This record gives sequence, structure tokens and C-alpha cells, in this order.
Amino acid sequence: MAKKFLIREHHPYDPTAEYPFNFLSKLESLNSNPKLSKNREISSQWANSDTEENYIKTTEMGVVHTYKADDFYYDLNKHGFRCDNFDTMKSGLKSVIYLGCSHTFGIGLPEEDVWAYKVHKKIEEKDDTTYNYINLSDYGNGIDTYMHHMPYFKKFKPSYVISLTPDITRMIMPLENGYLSKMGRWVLDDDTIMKDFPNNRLKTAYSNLLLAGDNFFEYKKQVIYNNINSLGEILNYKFIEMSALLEDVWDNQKDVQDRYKKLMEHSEHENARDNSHYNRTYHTVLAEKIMHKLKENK
Amino acid sequence: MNHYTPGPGPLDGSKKFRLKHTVKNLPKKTWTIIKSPWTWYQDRKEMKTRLAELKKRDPFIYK
Repeated sequence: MAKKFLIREHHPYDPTAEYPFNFLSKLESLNSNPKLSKNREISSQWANSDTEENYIKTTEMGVVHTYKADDFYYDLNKHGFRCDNFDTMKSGLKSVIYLGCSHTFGIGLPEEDVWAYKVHKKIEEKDDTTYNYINLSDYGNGIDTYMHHMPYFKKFKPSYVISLTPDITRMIMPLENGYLSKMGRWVLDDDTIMKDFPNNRLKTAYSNLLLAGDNFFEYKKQVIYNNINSLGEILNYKFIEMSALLEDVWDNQKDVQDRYKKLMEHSEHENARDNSHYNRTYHTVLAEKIMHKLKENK
Repeated sequence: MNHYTPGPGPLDGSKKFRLKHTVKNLPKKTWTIIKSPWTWYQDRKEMKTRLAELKKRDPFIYK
């Protein structure tokens, strides 16, 4: 009997499916925020890679944290995204859709320090209007998830779609039981991941793809981006993308580079709460760079 | 990586053709089997290098 893959109905990447099946598994301490907004459904103090255990451990190691443990919460809407509930948003307004991985989700950072939020404020200031803030990112996301979101772009009436592109080698693969799995190099690094599938053929397939180099992934990226661009011509939005990887972020322009360096000098002592993701000053740099791209694109 | 690539399948070509192919490729097949631990080691080494490169490029982990 053919297996039914979870593509549309209660699919984890369907932004209109309420309570996708992996929604609760990614949060550690549910409903811990006493000041949860009415437009959000659920909150958590800690998340998957930003755990309390990790925070205590790094503090004991002598790391000076920028944020205290209860400085911010992850407030999610009922679709599992870190933005307001889609049904409470103003229907007359256009929106800006943000796509990306954990950097866009804002692991280890309060929402207002994430690049997407900063860019949103700047775009609103530039266009002198209000846009709905739609952040469709999640951690571990690759560009495959963009394809899953594309059928729903029309509902959000976007003016801009902005992506902070994760590493291209991340991808989604359907497991033997029909569930979709986020594959990244960490799957091959750590034997404890996917331990339910010890001799997983998908793992072998994925490792062979990695060994074949970047060409396959680059090709996939170009196909997906061409699709998003073409949809943009129909729905009349602009698509802007930038790599999330450290080495790709620096510009060749000297004046811009100098400004970034000055910003970064002040940020050496700063860290995200999980002590691994980019800090808030780096997010300012990312936001400025994206705004630069957006203005260039005009 | 010098993995042995199979030739004609059981239904490809005539019986004579298949036999000729099998005999012709017997030394190559044997050598591939003898060499397989070395090939396995080389593959593993290549994978480690690639994973290290990817880890440097994308250091974030999600379980």
C-alpha cells in the first residue's frame, strides 16, 4: 500500500495548519511567560538548542551572558511560528515574509534583537506604511522548507519575501515511516540522532550526496529561488536573499566594511543565550546588509 | 573511488555475451573485493574531511 506523506494536511511546514505534529516537541518549558500577548498562543522560556542546562553549564564555565535566564521568552503563534497569529493580523495590509533557519527564528535572542524584526521596522520606516510581520523560520530549516511554504505565500499578500539563506546542504527527506526529517551534516556527526533508524538508507544516500560536493545542492537552490522569483512576478513581491554563513556576509565595499567592523568591535563580549548563535550586534549588521541589498535592488 | 560498476544484468544480451563479460571482468571483480577494506577506509577518510569542512561552514546543531 502506498504511504501517504505528510505534505499538506497537518504538515510541519504548512503555515496554515494549526498545531503541526512537531509543534510541542520543540519547546521545553511551556507557557512560562506571564506576559504572553493575546496575539500569541504559546510561550516557552527555553527552546531546543537554548536549554536551561546549557545556560547553567556555560555560566559555570565562566561565560558572561548578555541575557539573563528570564530576559525573554519564545512566544509562538498557534501555527508554531515566532510571530502573531495569522488570523488576528489585519487583512487589508500587505506583509513581509521572512524565511530562514534558527538565525531568523532568533534562537538565543529576544524577538526585537533578531535581524528580521529590525529589517521589518526599517522597511516600514522606508515605505512609510505598516506591514504584517510574517516570520516563517524554524531551526534546522534548509531551503527545502521554502518550497513547502510557497503555496501559502498568496494568502499573506507579500510585498517582500526576504531570506537569510541557511547552509545549502541542509535538506528534507521523508523517512521510511512517512515523516519528514530535517537532514543536515549533524545527522552524520552524531550516532544518537535518528537512532530509531540505525541502518537508515536515507543516511547513506545523504552522505553520498554530501560526498558528491556542492553542485547538487547549488542546483537545488537555484531551482527553488527561480521558482520564488517567478511567483514574485505573479504576486508582485520582491525576493531578496542573503547567505547566513559568516564568510559570505562581508562586503567588498570598504566604507560598508569599516562600518561593520566598528559595530563588531563593540560586540565581542556579547553572546546569544545559547552561546552559539550570532549575537545581537551581528544581527544589526545582517539587517543593515539586507537593507543595503533591498535598496540596491530598486 | 574505484568501486566496481556492474556490467550487463541477467537479462541483458545473449548468454554467450554475458559469459564472455563475466570471464573478462573476473580479475577486475576480484581485485575490487580484495581492495574493498582500503576503499572503505578511503571513503571514511573523505567523509571525515567533508564533515569537518561543513562543520566549519555551518557550526550549528539541531537534534
